[in-house]
Amino acid sequence: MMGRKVKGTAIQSSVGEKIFTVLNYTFFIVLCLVMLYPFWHVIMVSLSSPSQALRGGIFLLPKDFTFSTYVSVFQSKDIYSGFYTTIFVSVIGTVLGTFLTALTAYPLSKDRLRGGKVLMFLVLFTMIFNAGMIPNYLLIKNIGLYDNRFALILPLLVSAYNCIIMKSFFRSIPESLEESARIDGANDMRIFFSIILPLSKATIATIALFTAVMYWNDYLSTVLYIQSSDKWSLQAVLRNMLTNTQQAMQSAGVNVRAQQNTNAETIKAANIVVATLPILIIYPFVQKYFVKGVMIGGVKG
Amino acid sequence: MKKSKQIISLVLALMLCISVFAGCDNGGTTSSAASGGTSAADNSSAVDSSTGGDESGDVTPTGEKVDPTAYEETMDVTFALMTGFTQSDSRVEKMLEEKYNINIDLIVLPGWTDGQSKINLLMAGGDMPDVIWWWSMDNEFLQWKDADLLVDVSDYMNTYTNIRDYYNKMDTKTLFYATEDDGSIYRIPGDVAEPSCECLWIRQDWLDNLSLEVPTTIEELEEVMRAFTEDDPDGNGQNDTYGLGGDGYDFRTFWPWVQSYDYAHYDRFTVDADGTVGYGPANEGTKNMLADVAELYSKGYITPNITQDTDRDEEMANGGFGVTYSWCAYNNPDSQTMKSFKDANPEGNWVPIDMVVGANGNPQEDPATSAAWAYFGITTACEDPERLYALYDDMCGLENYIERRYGVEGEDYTIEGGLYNPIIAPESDENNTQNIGLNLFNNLFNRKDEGLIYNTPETTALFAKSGAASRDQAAALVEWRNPASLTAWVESRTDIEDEKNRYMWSVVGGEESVDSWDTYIATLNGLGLEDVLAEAQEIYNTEAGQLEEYMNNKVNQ
Repeated sequence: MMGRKVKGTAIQSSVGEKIFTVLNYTFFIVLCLVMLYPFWHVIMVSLSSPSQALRGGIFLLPKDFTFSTYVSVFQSKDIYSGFYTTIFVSVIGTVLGTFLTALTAYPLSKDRLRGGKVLMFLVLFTMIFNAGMIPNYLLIKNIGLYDNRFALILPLLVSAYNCIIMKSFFRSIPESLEESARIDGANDMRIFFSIILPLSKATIATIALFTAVMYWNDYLSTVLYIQSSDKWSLQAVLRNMLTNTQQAMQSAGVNVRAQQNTNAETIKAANIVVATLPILIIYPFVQKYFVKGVMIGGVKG
Repeated sequence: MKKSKQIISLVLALMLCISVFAGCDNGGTTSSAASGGTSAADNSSAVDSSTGGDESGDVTPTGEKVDPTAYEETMDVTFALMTGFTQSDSRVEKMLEEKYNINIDLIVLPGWTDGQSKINLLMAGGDMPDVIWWWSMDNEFLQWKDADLLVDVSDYMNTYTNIRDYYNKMDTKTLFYATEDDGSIYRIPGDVAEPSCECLWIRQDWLDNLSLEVPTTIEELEEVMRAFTEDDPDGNGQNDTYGLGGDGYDFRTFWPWVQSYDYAHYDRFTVDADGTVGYGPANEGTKNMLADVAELYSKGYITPNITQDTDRDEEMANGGFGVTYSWCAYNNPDSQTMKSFKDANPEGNWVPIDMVVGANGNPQEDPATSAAWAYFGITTACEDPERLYALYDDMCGLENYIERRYGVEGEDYTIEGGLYNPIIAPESDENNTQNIGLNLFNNLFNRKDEGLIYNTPETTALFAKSGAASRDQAAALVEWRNPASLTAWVESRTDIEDEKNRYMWSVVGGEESVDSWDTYIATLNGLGLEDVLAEAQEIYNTEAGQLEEYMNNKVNQ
């Protein structure tokens, strides 16, 4: 190859390739630092004293190092109730949602389903049209789910997008497997649970991951359907806590001094760290499924 | 098959159109509200069946005056609120429940960004809270009023008078802005700023270091700013100080120059001695103000980031400048911002000074509006509006208010030498972690008189002085009774304000100059300013007559 010398059994890179490699690594290291630094900054602020944090200027290390902020955070019941609600909603929503999505997608993947195309069209329709905030709010109120944690779960349970992804995967499973099971006397439900689901573990894991992240990040449902602050999701608790009251008032057109002092910058930072930590711990173990999920998004056949 | 798909698509589209109207049905749940508005007189039966009257036995339009602490039947009351203490079952909440024999249920609105959406949902959803709190929702208020969702509390307000008397003591015009043309009141002022809550601050230590006197004129102030920028006032040998600093991207920071010229303003409508309405950012005085500020900025006497949206408290805590126009409340020793500043600048000493005399020879502080920025109302969902108003008014009496806001003396705070010393401050973590409930119902009636005990006597005096020194300026600024009625302004406001902000900050930053003022005015006119002013003049004339009639007839006073 041009520019390369062979010395012994090793292929040596040219000068140009070495320079490119150095620049490449430098670029990506800088990119990583740029992405990591905001989070590092938040951690440093959370470990600094409130008066130093208010002045700003915390760069690489905390000023007046203290853990007292975390002590305050863990004494606040808001963060616990937020975690409880979010974990409750995420776990139940993920399990139920993934199962129901699979149950919905499987029959839709069969050509022999009567009215299948119409049903598929209806599923697609919901991806394009939505009744809007007020009709959804009225629906939840009228069915008695207002201020109930299940109002955070049920409206988002089955996503049309996930349905389509699963349907595409189920269609890729050879029909011969089902036929041979049917010959042996299995009915549709038995085939679904004993053959289809075990073969779909990767897809189910991916859909479960997407669903879990969706529930974890959901904020709007709390705004619409929850009244009691002890049922707020973690995102709503954080958003409430992180709002700079004075700036928010001015943005909302209110030009008076906020009577209530804003939460200390350190409290906000510590809450961000505490709320993000579970995701940071879990993500390395599920990262490969995210990557696979991006690929699975392509509709096949 | 293709034809059947077409038919299905048409049917679905038709169903979608029909479902749009389904959301309009309120389910008739508001039909329990008396049609044509629920007023005090309709609830007289509640008075007859209740126990208690006051000692004087005054007979009021509603019958006997009720004693809100003497009811035997427990009443459920829901409050929709956003600020202040928001946890349920706090010590303060339980105290109020026991005192008034009520069950309090708090509906916490989800923050400044989404709070108004939630308020709309609550009012439209047919299951309203008994007390609803809101801000800047003039159009929606009109709709709620027209739909009879709010109770007219005017008779109650003139019977149970803590709230009324407080507002009339502070500013008789406050209730004018809450009162309808027929004297009814559907919205109760929740928070009204002090007549003026800002003043001029200066670094006394820098003045002493440079042997300078406190400035009394705008020229002296500019000279002090020059010295603070160029003469190393902190003596550290570095060129790191500025004359003026403060809240970035906010023209209040330049108030000394704004008040220096008649009818100059960066935001509001003005009215001159002849009653002619103008738009502050388009007045000649504003042009002069801009020229002055731009010159100072170009000389480097103002912090460079003043043209960017910065956090006022953070800027103040950081320091680095010697003059600012900011909150009188910084004078309180427990001001977190000042504490942060002192930690980094132990020798630093901010002192409030009188406003400097400008070109017009009439130094004025920045006046706040007489109208409330937040209101609350009793909805028609309330089973006994008079009882609710009576108990809430009782809560707003001076002693009860202090207990609700600050707690019990000796337990939550002490008063030593006239100074408030919090044992547990309303804004502290302990208030939340111990679920005490201090500052419950914040902005559903806040006192700024002797009930605001966290102000030191000096700070209270500073507020009073600032308020008194802002009255001429207040008289030259227009305050609208119903901003939603300025339809031309509502339509053109966004475009006009965007152009105004762009031009004014460009001039300050040096990208443009006041030489292009005529072009700027032509642009504003092209965006509809002339139509806005014509409509504004008409509405102002009407409202000025209404105000005069209100004051003469002593309505709600």
